[in-house]
Amino acid sequence: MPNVSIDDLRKLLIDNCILKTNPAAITASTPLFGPDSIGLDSLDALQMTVGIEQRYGIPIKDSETARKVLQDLGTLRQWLAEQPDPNGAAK
Amino acid sequence: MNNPTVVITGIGAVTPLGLNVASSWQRLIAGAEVRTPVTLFDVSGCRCQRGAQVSLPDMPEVDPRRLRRWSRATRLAAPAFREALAMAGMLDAGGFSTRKHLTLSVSTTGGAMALAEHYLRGLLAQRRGPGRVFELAHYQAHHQILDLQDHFGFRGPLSIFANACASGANAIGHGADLIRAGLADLVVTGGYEPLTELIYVGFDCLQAMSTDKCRPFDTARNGLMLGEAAAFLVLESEAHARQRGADILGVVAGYGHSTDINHLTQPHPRGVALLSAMRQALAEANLTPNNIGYLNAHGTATPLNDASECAAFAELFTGDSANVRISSTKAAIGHTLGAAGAIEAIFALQALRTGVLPPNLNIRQAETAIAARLVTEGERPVSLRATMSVNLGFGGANAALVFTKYMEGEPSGEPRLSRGIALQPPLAIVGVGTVQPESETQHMAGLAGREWPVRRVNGQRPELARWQTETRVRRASGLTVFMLEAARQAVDAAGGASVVNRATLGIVAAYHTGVLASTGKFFQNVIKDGQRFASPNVFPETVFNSPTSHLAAVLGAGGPSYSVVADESAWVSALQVAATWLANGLVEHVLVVAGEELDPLALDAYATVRWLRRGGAFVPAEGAGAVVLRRAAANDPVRITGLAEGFTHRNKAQAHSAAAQLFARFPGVRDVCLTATGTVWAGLEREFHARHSFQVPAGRPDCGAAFVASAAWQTTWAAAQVPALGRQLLVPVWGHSAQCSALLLAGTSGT
Repeated sequence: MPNVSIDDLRKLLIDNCILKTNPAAITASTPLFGPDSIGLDSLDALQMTVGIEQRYGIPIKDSETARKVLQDLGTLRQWLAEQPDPNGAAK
Repeated sequence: MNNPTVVITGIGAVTPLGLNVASSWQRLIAGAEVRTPVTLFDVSGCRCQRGAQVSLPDMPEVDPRRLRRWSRATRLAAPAFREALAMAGMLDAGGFSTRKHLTLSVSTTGGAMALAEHYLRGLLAQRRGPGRVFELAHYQAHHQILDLQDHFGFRGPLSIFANACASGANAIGHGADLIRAGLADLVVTGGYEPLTELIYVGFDCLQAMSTDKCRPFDTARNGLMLGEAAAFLVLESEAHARQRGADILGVVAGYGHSTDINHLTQPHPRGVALLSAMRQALAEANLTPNNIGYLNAHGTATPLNDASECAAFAELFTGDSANVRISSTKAAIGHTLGAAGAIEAIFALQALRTGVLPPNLNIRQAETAIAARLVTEGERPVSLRATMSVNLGFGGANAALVFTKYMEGEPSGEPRLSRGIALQPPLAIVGVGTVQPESETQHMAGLAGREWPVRRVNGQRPELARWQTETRVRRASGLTVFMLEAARQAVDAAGGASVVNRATLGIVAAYHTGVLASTGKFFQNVIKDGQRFASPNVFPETVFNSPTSHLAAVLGAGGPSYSVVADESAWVSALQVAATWLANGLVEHVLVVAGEELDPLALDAYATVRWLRRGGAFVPAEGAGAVVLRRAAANDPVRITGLAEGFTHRNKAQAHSAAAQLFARFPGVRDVCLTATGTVWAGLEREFHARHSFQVPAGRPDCGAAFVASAAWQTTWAAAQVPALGRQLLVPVWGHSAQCSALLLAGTSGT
């Protein structure tokens, strides 16, 4: 999978999760869930899996993977980079 | 005088297992289950593709021209309604109701949503044709009830509850409450729910449905199965039933309901709201947990729901009550949402009558906390004194019903053969709040691109903008914010936290178009991007009671909450619910709130039905209104002394008759608000005012037509007039497509 920028992922996050947070405050290591995070919940986790599959053509197949991948935008970028390119399905 | 005992004299059901109560029950207790491919609509883009569909019966008794106009929702409901009336001895030889005035308390979550789905697809595809008006005119829930009224030949007050998956139990509970409060002698209650694409895709995107079997209370359960059903129960006061010689099937001995504000879609892990509802129901029935022999659980088979229920059951049924038998019947018929509480109540009643217990299905490893209490296949019949049915819903609605065997004794209370309009006790309006549109008319485009004049609320007003920082409402549309602000004003005006105890504050919310903005957004996304990419963040906001739930959570209201839907008349139905709660001593204060939000989709709908046309008087508007009520004292400056509902109509002739009947119920009243300006009722209202020489208080600002919100604004405005007026003031609420209703205000000046 070609490299995806943190800016791209920040936009994905803002587009999918209806956040009141200032987007500029979300860095690669800002926690998405749990204490001191931007306050996403389980519905946002599902929404992110939908958004990731829609934009990059790569499904997150189970909740365990989702938990690992969606810790922050950095872990998401790393995981996407490790995935095989889905035949140019990126939009 | 004691409150009347509420008895059940008729039941009817259409389920995936059978087309009446007897066949559904026989297959249920034999361990049958229905899980078939969904064929009613395309599910090719969904993760799950199975459900519990009903094979609809032929209905030769229905005129084929009428049958063609019935939605699947009506086709499910009508046979169940017929069975319930027939069992109660209320059908004549021609198949009509023997009572021409019948109070209904019913539930659904989607109504005939398939019609709205078809309309939206057509709109996006720029389809034209006469069918579009029909789809718009028949998808909302009250139209299925009007279908039933037309077919069975009756009219009467109508309350429709949309408290998500607990609605069916709430509808039954409200029916019982009306009888206990002396506001009705007989109520037909129940619920119906057809499978529809929007709801199916919604649960699929939440990954809440199992692609495997539905396994309630199994440790490896992984989701629910959706189903469809209709179920109705005839409730009446014991005295009324005995007077007319009806067979009594059982007693609605207790009802409890509460709101879980933990999360919009996740119940509290310890089931605290469910515990509260069960304890209320037991207290009302004057029973203890060890009296309950069988409990029909909600048991959806989602990990969180069943865990929450297990915690609540394990806490309530301990010691000598640990022998209770528990089962979920959703593996057999699916989760039927708005019908679930009604059909499961019938199953709990059947268990009570027969001693036979419906088994749990598909359990391989039972949840340890309640494993010993779960009914297994082949258990021997037992003698039961009382049974319970519980339901939990999106948005946190929890409900519990207790049924007991009927023991003939002295009837409690006198039979009440007609429903009065006078409230006993009257209600005091102790706080009001409004969010009204800006004074200038603006232009707003529908989805088809054409612009129309509208009256909008500026959401950037400081008092509204501040709610947008609330985490709980970040996914909600403007409707929730409007309602929150109106509610805040009303509670503050009532004296704030020092007077209004938030811990017990009840909420009743009235909706017409309701969450249309979220519903339209969700389904447009499904149409454009495919079912696979349906939005899990938006779907929960499409559930009718989600704004009600947000209100309860943000205000910290710990009392019960209901969502009432219909046309403008939902406002009066909501006031009626509040009157019932206050008359029965359930709560001290009730917040009644109504909201309306403009959406491009709605503008196209208004243009399709030709309310919006060049030079027309109809200007759609948005906003919210709220009142805080309590039981009135004689010197309260503003009191609601009467409520009238039930004048239902479907065409101009019926509307004229309904309006005449409504005014005839208030013979001495001379002061009547003009409330229909800009609506389809305007001409009719002017005619009645001219005929009766009503006096009209001057000065009500024109805010456009905002349906239930307009009804709330009319009420709050009239409430401000009555202390100075010194006489009774009638506020008609002209429902454009269901029923016309009214409330009567009285004021005391100089206090």
